[in-house]
Amino acid sequence: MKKFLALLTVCALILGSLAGCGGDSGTPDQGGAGDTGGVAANSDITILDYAEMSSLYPLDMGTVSDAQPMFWIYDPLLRLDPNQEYVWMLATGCDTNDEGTEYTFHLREGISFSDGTPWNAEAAKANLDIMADQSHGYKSQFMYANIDRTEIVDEYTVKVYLKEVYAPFLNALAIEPAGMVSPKLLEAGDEALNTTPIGTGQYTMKERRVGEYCLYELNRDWWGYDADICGGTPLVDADCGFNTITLRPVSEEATRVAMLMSGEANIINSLTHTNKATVEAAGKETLQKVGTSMAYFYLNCQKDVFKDVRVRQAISMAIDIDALNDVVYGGEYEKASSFLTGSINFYQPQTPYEYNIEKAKQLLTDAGYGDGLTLVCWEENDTTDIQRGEFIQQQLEKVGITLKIYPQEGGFLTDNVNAYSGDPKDTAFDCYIRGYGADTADPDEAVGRFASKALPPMGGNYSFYKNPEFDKAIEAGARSIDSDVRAEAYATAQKIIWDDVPAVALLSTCYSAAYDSHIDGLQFGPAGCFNLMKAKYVE
Amino acid sequence: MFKKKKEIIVTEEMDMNTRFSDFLRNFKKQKTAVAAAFVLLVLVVIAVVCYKVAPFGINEYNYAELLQGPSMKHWFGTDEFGRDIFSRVLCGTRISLSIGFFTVTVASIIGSVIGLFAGYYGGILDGIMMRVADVLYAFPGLILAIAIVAILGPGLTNVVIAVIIFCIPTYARLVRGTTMQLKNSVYVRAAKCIGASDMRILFKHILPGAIPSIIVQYSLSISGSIMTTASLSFLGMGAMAPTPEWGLMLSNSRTYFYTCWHYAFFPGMAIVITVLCFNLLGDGLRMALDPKLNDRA
Repeated sequence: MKKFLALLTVCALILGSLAGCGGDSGTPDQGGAGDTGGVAANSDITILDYAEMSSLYPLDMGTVSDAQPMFWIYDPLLRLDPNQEYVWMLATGCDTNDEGTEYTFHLREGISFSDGTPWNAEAAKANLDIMADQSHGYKSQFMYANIDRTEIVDEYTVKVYLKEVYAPFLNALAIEPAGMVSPKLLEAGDEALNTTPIGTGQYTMKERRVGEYCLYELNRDWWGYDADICGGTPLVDADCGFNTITLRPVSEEATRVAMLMSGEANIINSLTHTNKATVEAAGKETLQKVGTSMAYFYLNCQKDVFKDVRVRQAISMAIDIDALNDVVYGGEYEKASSFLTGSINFYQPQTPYEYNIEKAKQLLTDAGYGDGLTLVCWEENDTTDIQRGEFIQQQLEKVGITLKIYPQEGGFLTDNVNAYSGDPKDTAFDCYIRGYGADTADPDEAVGRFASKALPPMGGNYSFYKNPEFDKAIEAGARSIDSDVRAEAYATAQKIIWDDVPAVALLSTCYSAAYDSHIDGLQFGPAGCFNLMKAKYVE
Repeated sequence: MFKKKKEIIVTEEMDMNTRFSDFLRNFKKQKTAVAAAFVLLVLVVIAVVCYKVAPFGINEYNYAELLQGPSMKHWFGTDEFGRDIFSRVLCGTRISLSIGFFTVTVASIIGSVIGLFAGYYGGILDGIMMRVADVLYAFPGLILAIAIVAILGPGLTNVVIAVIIFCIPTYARLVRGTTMQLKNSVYVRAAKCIGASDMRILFKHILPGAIPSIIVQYSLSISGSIMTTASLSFLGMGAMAPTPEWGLMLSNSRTYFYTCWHYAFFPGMAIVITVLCFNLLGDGLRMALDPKLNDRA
């Protein structure tokens, strides 16, 4: 009798756990299945990203994972299409004076934020004023340091005065940090900005649990569906969009792949070449796009060891970047031939550093490090990033450099590299490996991030590189709207930085993703986040 | 007087010898434990000679042979940098076993001393030490280890410290229990009467009584220590690349679960076999030592 009871209990437990597996246990409440518009009511999809976002406020954006929700929730004045042409969003156009110091924006009419606040010149001014006010110290704010003031011309026209000419100004307004936030939210302060984002975008954020998921709901009143507001033809078709999107951070690639294969996820971000075949064999689609981002091996130039340019050059010669590409990325990336990727304007290829261990050793000996050297290196804990780090570690071992690598979670890492006492010598890391994109597709961002004006936390100069000559060239490039002048300035800048090696430019990276057959029209935005504007659900 | 004392010592030694042969006889009856002990012996030998016998260097990478399956050249296949997994698993034995033995040895010594003093003197000392042990006990072992490593920073040295800290309370409690039991026994009271010092009573008369249970716990703790080290390395808090640590190898192999079964399989098996053998040995030791423990009570 006892045995029978025990058996019964075991059966009940097994059945219970099976029932638990079958249900949507753990997935958030996916409600709000409306029937307005053409979007399929059951199109609730799950997207897996590799990192958690560190901020929900556009101006405070630091990583691609941060940009992801901003792309959906907020609209900027304009965007860049895949060919780097302007697509007007919250503005319908812009006039510039001849010198390039005054921009008059004509705002789109009939749009309101998801909290009901109307989009008008006042809202635009509120946003542009915060962008201009550098005292806030948000992570992406330095891009707007040139805004002097904004004037309201009439209800739907604003005029922006720049302190001096800034050539990539429109490009800087076309990226995620320039997403327009509801003025009410701006007044509410940082806490609210980071918890309850309110924009004019295609999606609204419904629910968020840090580290677990973030639930987005389609904004069915989005102006992009409205032919009248868009001036004749709507920006996207009525059946574009998804009812809800659940975005989850899953740092482990194998887990992401497994979740895609089991149908738990519809789209997964970042896929290595080894898993590509597996995913394709299972009938899933893959998407790949050459991005504007480049992986750098930053060397903190303010540390005594890296003050000597020979050490930096030695490191550059000791890393076989072609082999790195083959081993870690299956040869799908492109070896860097300058500090910016080929897809960016004014790109000038440089003479590559030859891979030469003997020469590297000689340089190190000359610099007084013949007996070896131990360096602390930080990187992201994404699977391929760890492999990339390990590969570089192996390469540097050959010239007697011991790399101590500490992989960290993306958002955490961003906060950590920006947190130092103020003296760059005190950073806990000597080197830092990470890829950074140039969303504006302009060299002022792509190579200008090494200027001394972009020292962390205000910018991405993680090499703490300070070279007046280089700064001068960057300034010259930014302060002219004459493309010949710009081309010359950036050619100089690229040459200086290539010879000075404040960082080793490794590879221009490719964005990669996999998705199932329910998804149609998936695209990558310039920064490497998913552009879902024209994506739709198919049965 | 002098003569008499010597006699006592002689009888104690004889007693120890008979006890040991009793134990051996009992232990030999535990066939699985004997087998486990044999496998562990082999592992210890491997740990000693691994760098000499490994066919390839642990960091000898070969970018032309990435992620190859098991073959005559590479018995366990190769990893994502073309390194020989067999050599790495072999050399990982030294890391795992030395960490296992070292942490548990240190923890058992510290824990036993704490337990002896706490149990013998009682009072405030006992109260404080056992409450501290209770606090440490309140956390699951791995969570406690993660917390300690999070404070100290990642790396094998800190893992060793973490494992030692979370092993200590087990021994402290174990020895304290036996001490409290034995301190009122007739022979301890007799020793007190003839004027033996506290230290002599603690280490000469009480500690030997606790040794059987310490031995059993020792074997079981080693498996726990190896598991924790591997787990922490798997989570990226323990060994750093390119150390051939089993947990770290498992962690690196996750990406290739679908394509290369061998990469995860062999380091995983190494952990399974080692931990299983220590557990079986611990069980066998308990069975062999139990009758003795019962006799004492």
